[in-house]
Amino acid sequence: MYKIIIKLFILSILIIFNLNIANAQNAVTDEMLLSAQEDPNNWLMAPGNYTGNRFSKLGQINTANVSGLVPKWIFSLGTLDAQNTTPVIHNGVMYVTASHGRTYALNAANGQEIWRYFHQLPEGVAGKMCCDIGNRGVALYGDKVYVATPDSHVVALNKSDGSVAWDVTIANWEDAITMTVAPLVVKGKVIVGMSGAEYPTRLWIDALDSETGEQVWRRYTIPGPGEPGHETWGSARAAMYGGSSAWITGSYDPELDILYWGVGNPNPDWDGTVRPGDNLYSNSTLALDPDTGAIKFYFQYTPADVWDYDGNNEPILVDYGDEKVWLHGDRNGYLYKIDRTNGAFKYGKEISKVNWNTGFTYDGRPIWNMDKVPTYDYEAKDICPASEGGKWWNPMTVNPETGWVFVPSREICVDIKSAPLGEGLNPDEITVGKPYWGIGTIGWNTGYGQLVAFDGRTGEKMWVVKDRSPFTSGLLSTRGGLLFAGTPEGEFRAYHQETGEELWSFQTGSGIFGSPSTYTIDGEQFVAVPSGFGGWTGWAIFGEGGAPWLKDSRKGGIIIGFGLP
Amino acid sequence: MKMILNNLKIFYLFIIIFLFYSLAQAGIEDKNTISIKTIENPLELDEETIKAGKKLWRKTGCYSCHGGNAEGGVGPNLQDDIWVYKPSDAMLFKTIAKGRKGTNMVGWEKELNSDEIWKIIIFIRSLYTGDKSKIIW
Repeated sequence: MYKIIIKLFILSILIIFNLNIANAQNAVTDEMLLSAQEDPNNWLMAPGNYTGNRFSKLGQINTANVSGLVPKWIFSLGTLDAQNTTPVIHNGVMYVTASHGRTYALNAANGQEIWRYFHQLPEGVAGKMCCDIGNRGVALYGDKVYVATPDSHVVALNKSDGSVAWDVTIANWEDAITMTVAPLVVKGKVIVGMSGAEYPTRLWIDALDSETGEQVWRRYTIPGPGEPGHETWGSARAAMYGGSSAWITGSYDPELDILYWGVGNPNPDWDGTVRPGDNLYSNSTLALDPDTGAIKFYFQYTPADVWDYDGNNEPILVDYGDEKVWLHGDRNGYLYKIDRTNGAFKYGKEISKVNWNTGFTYDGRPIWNMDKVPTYDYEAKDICPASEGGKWWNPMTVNPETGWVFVPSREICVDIKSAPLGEGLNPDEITVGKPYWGIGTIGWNTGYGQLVAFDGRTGEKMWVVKDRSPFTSGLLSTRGGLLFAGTPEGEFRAYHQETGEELWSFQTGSGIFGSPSTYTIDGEQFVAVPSGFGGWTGWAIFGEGGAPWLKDSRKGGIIIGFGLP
Repeated sequence: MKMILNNLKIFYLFIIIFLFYSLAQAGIEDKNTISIKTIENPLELDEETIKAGKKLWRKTGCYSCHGGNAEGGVGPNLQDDIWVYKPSDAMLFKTIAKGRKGTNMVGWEKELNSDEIWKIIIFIRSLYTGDKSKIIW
């Protein structure tokens, strides 16, 4: 009897020890996140790694063999509407979101479902989201998966089975403050930003304790009364309703210990009359202390915006020798290089045709072209670029080994006339939870899409590839010399990074509005991409229509895993 | 005696049916729900109603998904004759009031009363650019 008890005791110790080893092997640590660029077998966060460059060191699939790429599996996401996600992969398991914030774990080798989490949404939430009910992906940390949901919850799921570890509410969705962002985990904190700048809101970035969900800090993107910058709104009312969203995942520099996070457009989108001033920190990248949320410095791309140049696009951290910069493709049509140690302007280079400004001051402040400034009495015609850019929200990619940056882009211009409350499209009065755009009339003029490659050191344009429709996917570059990009017409393509030559294409069945990622399973490289048309696509059809052939595009909802035969 | 019992059964059956009907009616008349009794728009397609419908279109934020003139965007184009379901008055009313399952279209009956929904439908009708032979309202 005594021996049996001892054996059972030893056995239980061994089981606990083994479980701990298994959990430890399945855990995502700070060290792993910090060295994610050096671990191409996994794709540990939505932007790939902390620089946000969406570059992989994998080269098994390369310019010589990509023509043979074939779909290995297809997974149905079970929803339609905008599929904006980037698949995240760890240890052969893919963690991916669908529209509506549904979350899945899949076997990344064959697409078989392991678990699912369907966050139950309140009826009516889609009516509080300007731009579809998409979701941009998850974050991994420790033994958990983090997802932000449309009704402004952040949920921590146990990585092994998808059960809920914690679920916290960040905002009241009925006020049209919602979430589509892919969280980023930095130093044990889950960082998220809010959507809702097409409504009278005051938005923010939150850091949550990864273990409990408790708020560690909150950084409002609009300074409150008494804070520096509050005066840039003209009135307290304008500041309190000034939107300034933060729904694109930021970047992190561990050496400088700075978190970089983008801030979007002021509200109302197209009427600057009611918010005279620069409207800080709309259309900026904020450099934040990740421990406190304090603003160290910032760079504002489009002060006093009247074009809806929603500047929260990703900042990608790049080192050119000793030069530490971030690169940012803005909707206002410019590729920016900014010193990431102090926010100093290095250059702004045209991605697409730009006519809303005539140049920059020495410190990067745009000089307006008054012919392109819409007012209540003046319809500004053929403003270039239109509100989606330039470069829309879909992330660009940087190959840090060549220094080149690749931008999904478009050449589409727009006619705009603004209007006060009670006129144009505007309601008679401001109501929390109701859209307010400040628009009189707006019509997009038919254009085309393009991929643009720059040498990021100088901003020299290296090549341009034109296409009928704008490129609406995020991009992926690899050591195999490839650039992956998707179109709203469903084509998923591989281009040669050096020349822009199209090397491969696959029709995925619906528009691509999410981002590809790449990983290996047992030494075999895969490339995964979501397919599913959606998002705010009024640009395609309002007025003449930026791309009128996209009217009534087919929706979808799949992930495809591609590999070599 | 047997006849009395049978009559009582019928009487109770009527009482039960009446109670169920009353409860159902009470549910329909709840302040947050709208009964779909009328199958045809009681309002005329005239300038005043179109203007009122447009104002409600802006106030409710319909333009956010469907566009300022229902060109489409996140939601479908409502000007043309391409519809999943036949665009009868009853179908439009039901969709606006109750929403459309499986899509982003939520129900607006908590914000709009019947008269307001009919006005919005008049505004939508005024924008029609489709084949006139397909008009069914």
